Amino acid sequence: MTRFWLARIVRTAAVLFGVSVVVFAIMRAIPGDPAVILLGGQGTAQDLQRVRQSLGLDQPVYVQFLKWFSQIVLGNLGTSIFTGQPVLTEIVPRLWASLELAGFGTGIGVTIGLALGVFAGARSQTFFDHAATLVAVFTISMPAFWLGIILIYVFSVLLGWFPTGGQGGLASLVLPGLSIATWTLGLVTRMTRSGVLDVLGHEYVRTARAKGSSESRVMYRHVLRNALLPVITVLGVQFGVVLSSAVGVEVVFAWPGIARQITQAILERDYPMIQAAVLIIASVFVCSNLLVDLLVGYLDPRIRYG
Amino acid sequence: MRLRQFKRNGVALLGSVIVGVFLIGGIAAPSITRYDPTRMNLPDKLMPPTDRHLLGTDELGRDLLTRILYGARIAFVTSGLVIAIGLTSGAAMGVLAAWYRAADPIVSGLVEILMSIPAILLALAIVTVLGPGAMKAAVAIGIAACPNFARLIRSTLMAVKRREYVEAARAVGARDSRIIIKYLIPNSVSPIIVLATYQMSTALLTLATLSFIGLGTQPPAPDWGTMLARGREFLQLAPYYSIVAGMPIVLLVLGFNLVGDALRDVFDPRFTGHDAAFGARGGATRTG
Repeated sequence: MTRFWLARIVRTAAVLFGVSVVVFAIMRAIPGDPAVILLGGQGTAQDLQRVRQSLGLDQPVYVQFLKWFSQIVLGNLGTSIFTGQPVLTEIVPRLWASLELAGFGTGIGVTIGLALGVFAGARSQTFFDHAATLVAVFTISMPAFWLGIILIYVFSVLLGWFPTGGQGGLASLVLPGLSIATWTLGLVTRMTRSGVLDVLGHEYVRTARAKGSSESRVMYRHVLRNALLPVITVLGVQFGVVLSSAVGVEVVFAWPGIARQITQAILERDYPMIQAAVLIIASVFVCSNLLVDLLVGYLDPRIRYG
Repeated sequence: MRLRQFKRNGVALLGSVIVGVFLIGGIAAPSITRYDPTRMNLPDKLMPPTDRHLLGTDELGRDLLTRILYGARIAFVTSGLVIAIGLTSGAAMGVLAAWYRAADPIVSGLVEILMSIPAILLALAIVTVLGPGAMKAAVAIGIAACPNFARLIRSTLMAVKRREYVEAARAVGARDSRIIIKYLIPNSVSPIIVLATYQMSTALLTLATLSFIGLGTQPPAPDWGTMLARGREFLQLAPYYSIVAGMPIVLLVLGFNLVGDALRDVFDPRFTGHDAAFGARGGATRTG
């Protein structure tokens, strides 16, 4: 079994390396002199020469990559063209802000989604089931930032219950969190519902009922735990969609997160910032996938020994 | 037979109707509305829905319904481009990996690395290289979507390759190209169609997001995402603007999702057909 963990970790390391190669390649694909780009077009001839040397632009590409990679690993991700500060100092607090928003939103989405999904699955074909399914498919079709705008209008502008934006306290987390939650809610509802339906047909459920177990015991012990597994698996994919929603939602609510940071950096052509942010977010994604895989491997023995 | 099953499915019908309405609306826009989608008309700016302007006007006095109809053209063309790029490059990679054993580890490794970068991030990175613009955004998202197609096509082809009729064809000496064309492709098409449909809705959402933040379609083009961005600026003055600008996105994405659901149920051999729309495979195959 340890071989499973080990293999997975080694694979993750290889993927991380591959991701850094891809990011390097993309950033080098930007038309123009990399030294000029890195300095944002404001540098004396000596600055340019210095940057060219540090990048090793006169040397073969793989040497350039190794130089860049060794800097990354040492924690030097460059300096922002726009602010002149090391990019890490800009990125880390914003990363936390985004994680706070994403965590809150995903938490709400998963909780409500699980509840809705279980009820819909248990009361299949009833009005509640159809209503829940309709809500689910509607929420995954909605741009999160559009819902955000509407929420702002109703609950901030009209009712004044919540602030219109910015980060500060629980109240400011509610509306953006709800916006982020929608896609997750829809997906989790659908998956839980189908998982519940699937499991309800299995023999062990019939056996438990025949044994005389109460309905709630049947639901909890057998149905829920088995239906939960695909939901956990899909949580890894969630990250990407939540990030996608976050791009719009953070802009709408002026939330100081990493998604908004990347957006601004692209508009400002702050290439060191873009490069670092992409690298960091991708790495977080890869590591979270690893954690989800390990969690699923722990929960489902079939995967470990299969 | 499958087509009949599809037609009988109420959800499929609804989805197809929605998509059809937008498609026809986009194509026939000049016949439906006499307004020009980009010409300014400042005296009429920010009007709520009236009988002259069924959905109101924007900040430059342009009729919103007109802009939505012409925006449908942009929506279909850009998302169509995304699918075209994703499908062709994904197919090329998938076929390579499935057919030539030596290429498989390389291609699969590349696909895995690309899928480890969230699609929106990859698209944003490519837009950084290409610059803002509707078509460039579509290319970027298309490239980001390609690993999804590559992975599906590879696994489908590998499964079909193992079937008996392929073995039989090889035994009688059929050329590789003949096997690919006559056997592999026709039997692999259905999961690809389902994925392409779902990817249309993802593409539309991602395109809207990019346009919303200013990296996609540029003004004055009547793109739904950019309209939503402008509408937000006038939220207190003209709240209907934001609602109206967002509805087409929601509806068209919903349409494609419903069609995708129905297609998936129709093509799923494990399915009895009853309760087809709300089937046992609830999750959509989204890009990460």
